[in-house]
Amino acid sequence: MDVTAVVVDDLTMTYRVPVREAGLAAAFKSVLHRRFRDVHAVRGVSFEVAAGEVVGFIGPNGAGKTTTMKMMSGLLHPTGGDVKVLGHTPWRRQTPFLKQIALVRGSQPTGGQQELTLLDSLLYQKVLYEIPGAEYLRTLDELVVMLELEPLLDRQLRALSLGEKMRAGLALSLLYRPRVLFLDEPTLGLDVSAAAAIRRFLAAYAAETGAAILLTSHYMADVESLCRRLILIDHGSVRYDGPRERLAVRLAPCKIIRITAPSATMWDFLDVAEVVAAHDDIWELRVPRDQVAEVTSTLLRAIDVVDLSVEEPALEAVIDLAYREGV
Amino acid sequence: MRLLRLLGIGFSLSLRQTVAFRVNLLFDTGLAVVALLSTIATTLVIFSRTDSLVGWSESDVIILIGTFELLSGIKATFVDPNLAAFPTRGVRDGGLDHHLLRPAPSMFLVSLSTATPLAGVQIPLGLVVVGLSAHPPGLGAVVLWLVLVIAATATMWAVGMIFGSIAFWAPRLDLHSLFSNTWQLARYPADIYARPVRLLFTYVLPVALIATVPARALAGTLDVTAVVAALGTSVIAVVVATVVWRQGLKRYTGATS
Repeated sequence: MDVTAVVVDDLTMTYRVPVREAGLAAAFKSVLHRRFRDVHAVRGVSFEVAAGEVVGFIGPNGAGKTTTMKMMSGLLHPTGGDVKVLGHTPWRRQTPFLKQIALVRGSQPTGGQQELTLLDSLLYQKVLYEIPGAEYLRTLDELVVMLELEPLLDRQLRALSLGEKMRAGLALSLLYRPRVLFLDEPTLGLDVSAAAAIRRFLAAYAAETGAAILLTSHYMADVESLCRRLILIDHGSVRYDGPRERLAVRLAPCKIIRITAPSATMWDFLDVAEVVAAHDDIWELRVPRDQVAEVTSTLLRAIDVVDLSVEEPALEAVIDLAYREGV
Repeated sequence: MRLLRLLGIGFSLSLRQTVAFRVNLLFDTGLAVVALLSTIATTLVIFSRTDSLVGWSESDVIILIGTFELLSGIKATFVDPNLAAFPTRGVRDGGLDHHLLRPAPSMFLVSLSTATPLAGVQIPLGLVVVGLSAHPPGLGAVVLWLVLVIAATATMWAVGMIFGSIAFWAPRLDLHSLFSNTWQLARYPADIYARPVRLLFTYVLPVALIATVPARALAGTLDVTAVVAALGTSVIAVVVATVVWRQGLKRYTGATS
């Protein structure tokens, strides 16, 4: 069932920020004559997210990801365009809307009173979201198992480590089973194991509940393991929206040929392909897409090849290229 | 009803943390009793030299002290722990985001979601002082006193919200301290202040009459005009607080990610 959960149409956000030149005189002058500059954080962004879809919302720092997420979750009123989340206008912040969405941020995983224990915080959520008793207990049991919360339940939120806070934050946000989940850097600052655990949990949650998930992350492991679709935003505009695998085709003009050739030397590749890495008899060559077949054929004729594979460049490398050089 | 349930669970959760600190409970109770007794002793000293203070008898002033203690207890228990840190935690650090995402009125969540139950010891102390000092009042006077205490509570909450909302325009100002200092003016009969001061703290910053008007209801010296003024002030204060809050929210952009 393809039900559209989020519709973003020509969304625009412009901040008006005060500016002044350096120096004492300029500071005094700004008291009488304040000058402002418009900062276009988001410019005409449009996309849709279906129920059950997990979408990676990526872009360099300052691209407009968080601002867009804040507008979709109702924290900010846009200066132009429209958003509908499950049919609701987010910034009206109506109760039925707020009961169906969650925004979890890696920078502030657990809001509210940090002195409360996790179990007391969950109890407050139960009353706040009016969760029936039986449903509360059932969901709590599931979350305790999936997020390994048992040792955290009787501890104050403020005393939890970063990884524990993220697990607690997810439990607090998913207790009422939101149908749309906005995740802003959910693995920020976590170690490899903690990040992997969060990713496993999110994949399971998405599969089990069919919630629409929009995820921002600078960690490509998050994007690669969770998102089949990517939206790349830069300077406030959408630069790419489509399948993850096609981003490389669209952005990277080259492919990687990896060959295992114990007898090969650097000279064998001269004038054939660009060597990007070499180790343990394995050579990685960067080759323009339209020359892959020709180069492969040449290499197989000229060198004693044990193994050969043609691969897309790593997502991280492609996105790095996109951030540095634009799309 | 839902907001009352939220207020109840917020208080209950705060209480669970608090009761673990028995020494704090003893000290806070002791300090509140000493502060209250010293205020009453000062009043008794004054009335050992005179029978009347700007028209107030000794027992009337004690009623005022008890009423002020009660209202201060409500303020310190429910409003102060939330609004005192609002400019810093709410606006500057972006903690307000968290409240705005929750399915309950943001004004309620910002101002009443947590409590300091120990400060609540002032509430029963205030009631005891009022109960012991009042001449046996009629049921009408008690009901009127109760209505005016509720109106004064609404005014106190609204003034606190207005001061808190100014953080949207000037997040570095600590206006809650100013509010708490000004609040102490309500401890004395409004009539003792010079006219300009009385007018300022009646019509501009309505704290002067907060305890005076309910106390007059029990003392039997209240006229209809004061009742209407107190009720009207509370309604206007709540409306102004709501308007200022909504205007402030329009300016709010949160802290960055």
